[in-house]
Amino acid sequence: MKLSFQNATIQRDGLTALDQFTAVFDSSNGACAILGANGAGKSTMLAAILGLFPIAEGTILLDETPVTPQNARAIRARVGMVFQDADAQLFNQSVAEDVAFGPTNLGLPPEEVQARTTDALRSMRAEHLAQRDVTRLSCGEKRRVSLAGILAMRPEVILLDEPTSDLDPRACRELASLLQSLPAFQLIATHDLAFARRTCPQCAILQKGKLLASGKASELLENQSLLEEAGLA
Amino acid sequence: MSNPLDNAIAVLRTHQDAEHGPLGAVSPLPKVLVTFSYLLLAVSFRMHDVLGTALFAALPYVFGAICRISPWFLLKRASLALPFVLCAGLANCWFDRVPVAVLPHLAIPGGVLVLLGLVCKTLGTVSAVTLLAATTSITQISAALTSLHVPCPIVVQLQLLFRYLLLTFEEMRTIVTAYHLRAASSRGIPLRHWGTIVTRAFLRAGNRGNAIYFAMQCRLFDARRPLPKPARPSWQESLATVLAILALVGLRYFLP
Repeated sequence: MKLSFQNATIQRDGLTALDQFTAVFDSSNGACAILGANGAGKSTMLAAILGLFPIAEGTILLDETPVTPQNARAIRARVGMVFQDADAQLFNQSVAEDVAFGPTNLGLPPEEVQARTTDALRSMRAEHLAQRDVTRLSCGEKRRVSLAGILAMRPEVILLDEPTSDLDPRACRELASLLQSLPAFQLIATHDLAFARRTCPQCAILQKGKLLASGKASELLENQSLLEEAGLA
Repeated sequence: MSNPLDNAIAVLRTHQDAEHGPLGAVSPLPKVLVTFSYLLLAVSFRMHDVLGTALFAALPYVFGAICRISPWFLLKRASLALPFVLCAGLANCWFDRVPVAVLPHLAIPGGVLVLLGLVCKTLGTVSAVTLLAATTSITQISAALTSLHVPCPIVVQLQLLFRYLLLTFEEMRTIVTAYHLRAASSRGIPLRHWGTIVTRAFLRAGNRGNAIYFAMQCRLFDARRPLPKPARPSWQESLATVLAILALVGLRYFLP
C-alpha cells in the first residue's frame, strides 16, 4: 500500500500549510514518523489524506485512488485517524457507543458491530471501560479508546496526530507497545523524538510545509544539524 | 459551586450521572413509547383537575423509585423548569379569582388551581423525560425515534443540538471559572463583560464542534444516511409496553 503526495499544496485559514509537497509513504517500509516543529504542516498533511481540506494544487493518491470529495467515503473506510485532541474524537456518551460509531457507519450488522467493538477494546486493553462515560477517562484511557474507535473500523492505514501530547512517560511507553502490535500501516505526526525512535523505522521531516528529509529513523534522528535546522533540537 | 451553568450541564449529563437500574437494560423503543404516552396523557388533564394531575405526576417518581432511580434525582432536574412555569402560572392567580369547588366544603380561586395544575404537570412531564434520559442514551433515543419513522434530518439535528449545547455550556463554564480565578475579589461578573464571554463561548464551542464533526466524518458519518434502527424489543418487552400504556390510560380516566 502506498500513499503519495505529488506537488500537493493546501491552504488553511489563508496560509499555505503544505507547499508543493511531494513524498511517498510505503507500508512495506513500516511505520513512519512525521516530524516537524509547530506549524510545519504535520496535522494538515494527515487531515489532507482524509480529504478534510481541499487540495489547491497537485494530487494525493492512496494506491491508485486520488483523494477527492467523490472518493472521500472510500478513502475514509480504508484510512483511520486518531486526532490530537481526544475530546474532539470521543463524543458519544459511553465508550462502547463511541467505539461502535465507525463500524455502525460502515453499515455492518449489529452482531458484527458488537464483535468489532469488543475486539477493538480488548486489543487496546480497555474492555473494562466499555460502559464508562467518555468524559470521565484519564488522558491515557481516552487515547486508547480513541484508537479502539479507529481499530474497530479495521483500517489499512492509521494516522495519529501527536498521540503523546498529553500522556505521561508510562502511558507513552504503553501506547508505543500497543502501536507496535497493530498490523495496520501507521503514519505518526509527532515532535516527540523518543517516541518516534521507539515506534517508527522510517521518518519524514517537514519544515514550513515542505519535505526537508526522509529516510531511516535511525539515521535521520542522529543527524543533529538536520534536527536543529528543522527546529526539533 | 451550583450555578445555572452547572445545572444546565447536569441536565444534559443526566444519562452519565444516573444509576441506570433495571430500566437501563430495556430496549429504547418501549421506553420512548411509554414516555410519549405518559406525556400525552399528562397534558390532557383539564386545568382545574388538580388532584388527578398531582397523582398522575407522582407516577414517574414511584416508577423511578421501583427502578432504583432516586425521586430526589428526578425532582432536582424537574424543579429547574419551575421558574418558567411560575412566571406563566402566577399571572393566572391575578386574572382568575373565581372560586372553584375542589371538595364539598373547599373552594379555591381558579387561577391558583391552574397554577398548581401547571406545576404538577411540569414536575410529572419533566421527570418522565428525565427518567427516559437517565436510562437511555441520546444514541439509543435517536435510534428509537428512527424506528418510529421520525424523519432522519430531525433526529440528526436533535443529536447534534444535544452535543453542541453541552459543548457550549462546558466552554462557558471554563471561561467563567478562568474569569473568577483572575478576579477573585469581584462579586459576580459585571454586565459589560458578559457580551465578550458569551461570544467567546460560542466561538470556542463552534471550533470544538467543528473538530468533532471532522472526527465524525472520518468515521464515515453522513447526515443524509438513515440512522441504524435499534434491536427489536423482545415479546416480553412488547407485552410490558402495551400493558404499561393501558395502565396509564386507565389511571388517566379513573383517577379522581
